[in-house]
Amino acid sequence: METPNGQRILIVDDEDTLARLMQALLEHLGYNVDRAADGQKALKLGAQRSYSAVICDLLMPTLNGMQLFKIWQNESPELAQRVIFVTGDNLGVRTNRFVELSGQPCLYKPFNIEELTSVLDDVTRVYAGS
Amino acid sequence: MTQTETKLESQVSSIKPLGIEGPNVHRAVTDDGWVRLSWEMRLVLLGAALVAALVLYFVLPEIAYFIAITLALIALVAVSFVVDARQNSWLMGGMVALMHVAWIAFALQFTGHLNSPLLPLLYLVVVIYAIYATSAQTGLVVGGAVVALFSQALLMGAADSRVMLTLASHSILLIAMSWIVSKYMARLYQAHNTARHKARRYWGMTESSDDALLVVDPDWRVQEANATAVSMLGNGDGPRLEGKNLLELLRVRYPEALSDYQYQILGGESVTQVPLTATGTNRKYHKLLFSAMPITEDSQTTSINVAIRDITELSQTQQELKHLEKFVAIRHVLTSLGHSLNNPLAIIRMSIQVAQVLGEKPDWDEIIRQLDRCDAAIRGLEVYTAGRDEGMLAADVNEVIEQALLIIEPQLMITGVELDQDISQNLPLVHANHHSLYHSFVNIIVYVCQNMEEWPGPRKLRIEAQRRSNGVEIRFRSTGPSPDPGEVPELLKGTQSVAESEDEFMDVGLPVVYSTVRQAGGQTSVSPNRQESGILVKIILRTADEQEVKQYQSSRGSVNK
Repeated sequence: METPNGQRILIVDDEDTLARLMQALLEHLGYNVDRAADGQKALKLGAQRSYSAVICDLLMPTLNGMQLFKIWQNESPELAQRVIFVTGDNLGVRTNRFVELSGQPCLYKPFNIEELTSVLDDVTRVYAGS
Repeated sequence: MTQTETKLESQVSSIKPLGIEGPNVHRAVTDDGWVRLSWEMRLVLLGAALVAALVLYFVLPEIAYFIAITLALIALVAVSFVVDARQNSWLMGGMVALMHVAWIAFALQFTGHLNSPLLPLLYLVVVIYAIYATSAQTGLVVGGAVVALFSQALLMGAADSRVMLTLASHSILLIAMSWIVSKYMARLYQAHNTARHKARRYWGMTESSDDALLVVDPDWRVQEANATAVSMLGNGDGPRLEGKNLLELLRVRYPEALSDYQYQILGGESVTQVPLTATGTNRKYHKLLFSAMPITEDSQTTSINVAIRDITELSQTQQELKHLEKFVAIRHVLTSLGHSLNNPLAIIRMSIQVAQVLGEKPDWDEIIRQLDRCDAAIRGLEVYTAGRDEGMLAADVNEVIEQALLIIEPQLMITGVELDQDISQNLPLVHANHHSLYHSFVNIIVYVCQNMEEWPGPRKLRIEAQRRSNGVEIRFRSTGPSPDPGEVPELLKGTQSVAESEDEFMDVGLPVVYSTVRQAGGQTSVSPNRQESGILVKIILRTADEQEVKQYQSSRGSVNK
């Protein structure tokens, strides 16, 4: 895995504990990390800062991951391409259909840190190249 | 009365009988041939003609005249027999007119007043008009007869009182016959026509029916059967079902099941859709619905109308549908459970791995909290799959809603449904089985989630539970497509097999809710959500009585211990 070189990651998840753990891990790996507990807050942060990747839970209150992604597709297509979905709805037909249509990577809970860092590496590498 | 019977009745009653007044009567006679005169009617006419001839004999005592008139009358009646009153009315009219002309011609001949061959010809025209009018309207008949009388009197100069008497008697007879024809025959025609229309309609429906329709006598011997009955019960006997015993033909698996109904039917009572299992022509067991309506005359059952519906395929389809519905419900619950488990599992794994990477100790308290979440999700599944406690007849609505949401709330999030609750915390215990009510609530929530799955608008579910004067009212108000009011009864009551399904865990759908609540003496209604587009499912349950409350409390006490 390449060194992150201070790349900034946004974690969007209403599961505060999981978000904190991912933040701790990614910061340990050299990333700068912001957290948002729902889509609305993520939307604001996305407008304020540039992110190498967004780790986004799909099912959240108020504005969920699917809605957030659709907004970014229209308003910030580049950011939308850096989204990594995270979901615990592994059996949900609607969720799986959405992920497939989005073309974005998805981590199914409970994922391990190797999976997380591998997907993150892929996405940030594309960002670094662009 | 079933819906089909009601429809049939309205169709039959919509057949308008032809009026007996005005041109309708004439049209009735000429459009489709005359109505067959009854034998009694013909004899009455013959007798009237003979009496008239006898009277004439005393007025005009020439035996030849009497014989001639009598022969003419008999010829007329004989012609009516041969023609069978089914030919064109003009033929009958012409025959009667000829008889009249012969009658008058004979009278004129014997009285010496036949001084012009044009006279009978002229009279022929008048009488034909009178006869034509006979089939049109009584008033015209009388008018025609009077015209005929006075035209004859005018033509003959009213010179001879015997001729006048002849004309008078002839006119009276003509008027009487006309009256009979216009009233009696028109009525006969109406009856015949209506019966024929009914018979045609019933025959069409009977023959095209997918139900076996039969008429049997009180000994259950078949008198009539439609094509479906022949194919269902024929068993190689071809169309000859007549005379065979229906009960033997049915080969009912449990004959005693029908014996009570036999007694009931023969006593004059109808039975509707009695479920039977019988051996079909393919020697396989068929599920049948048996209906019978006895026809009674003077308190005696003279025949029985029987309808048999084969619901074998229908019940198989219903079973398959039910399994499919169960599968869908289980999928929803498992999806929900998966979500409930995956989040804490993800945290546990991440806690341990991150601790390893950072060289720290895992946060054991956090891990235990997440294990508790897993435990709660598993407990939710246990409640969902637990067997029913049939003895328990009191339920705490708050607890039931809480448990139902425990298993299904993640599904609401997955479906993107925003949940809102307005549940009074001081609700009394209600008269219902806790487990059944729990399943009902899960079913309702699964149902509304499914209903909202493709809904492009906001997805909301509001659960309200409020105390009412004699119980508790629970409302599940959701957005999404509104139900068609016509579909609500089926939506709620479902098909028979579903509604009467055996008690199993994980019964699904609104019919199960309806059945459960009804068993608890409550009410369920489904209606469009008037606040927004969507569905409102309302349940009203009565308050549990004192004994049920005590039983509930003691069982809870023993559980808590």
